[in-house]
Amino acid sequence: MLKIVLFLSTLLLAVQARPVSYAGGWTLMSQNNWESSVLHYHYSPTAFESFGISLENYNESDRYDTNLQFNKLLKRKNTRTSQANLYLKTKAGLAFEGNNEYFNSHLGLAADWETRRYFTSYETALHYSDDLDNGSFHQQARVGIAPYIGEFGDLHTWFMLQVEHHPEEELDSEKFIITPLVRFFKGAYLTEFGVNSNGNAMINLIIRF
Amino acid sequence: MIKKTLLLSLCAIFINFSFAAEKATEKKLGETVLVNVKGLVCDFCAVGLKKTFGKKTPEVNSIDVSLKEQKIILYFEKDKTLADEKITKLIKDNGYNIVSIVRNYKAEKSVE
Repeated sequence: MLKIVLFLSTLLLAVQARPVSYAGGWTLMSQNNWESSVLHYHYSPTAFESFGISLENYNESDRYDTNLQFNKLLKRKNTRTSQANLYLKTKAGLAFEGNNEYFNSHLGLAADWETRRYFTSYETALHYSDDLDNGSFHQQARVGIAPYIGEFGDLHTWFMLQVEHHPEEELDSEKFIITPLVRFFKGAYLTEFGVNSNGNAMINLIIRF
Repeated sequence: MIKKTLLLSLCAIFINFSFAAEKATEKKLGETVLVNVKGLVCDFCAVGLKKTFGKKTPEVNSIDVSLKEQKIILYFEKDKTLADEKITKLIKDNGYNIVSIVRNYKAEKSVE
């Protein structure tokens, strides 16, 4: 019961863009950064929710998180020049580290607003696992600008700045992490490359099917 | 000899493409419908709409999406069409809003 309460009371947001696809669409996401590598595969029965699996391996340990995931588009606001979204994100499953197994859960909120020229997003996250005394929290924001505006099917380029806040990290350099990155986007393919303020690389890939 | 073979192969491919293109243009299409929408900001939006109309509506021969003009053009098969309500539902179910639907639209060129 306690786990369920904690699960419902935790908040996490993984670093994802567009966590829900079109109705009937499959999405493959790969995220690799200073902290971990994540492989996420999800299916959207409608354009307002997605179900999937998520596998995560942490860089500085032999820990693996295996989760089932559910994302929901809570609210969308469309205009002739912009789109704004509010998403709920949840994950729950088991974490494996050596011979140990832990119950593992995430619940998060993400918001974004974008035009064809500008992009902003904010995500807040809590993560509960049996091996974490009080869970962990992090938040993240992004701003971006497209140097040119392309039509559908063109190669779109974005310059973005990402700021992460990890209050539980011991090192000051890891409490706040800044990552300038470039996003390339064409059709059903999106990829991002960046290097953070500690010199660690970030490579993300999203493919819609 | 190799050069000749390559040249002949290229010619054959070119002729094949020419016939294919001619066949496509000769194929008679039905009504063209312009749908003005709100919320199209990126290629994922356009890909989703193209997949939706490609999978769920055999009445639609092809679809063009313009992010710049926030419009979708539906090219129907000959003697086929979809009611405004159905078009509206499919687009709203994808998370976008309809501004207007223009029947028998004269598309001057592909917007892609």
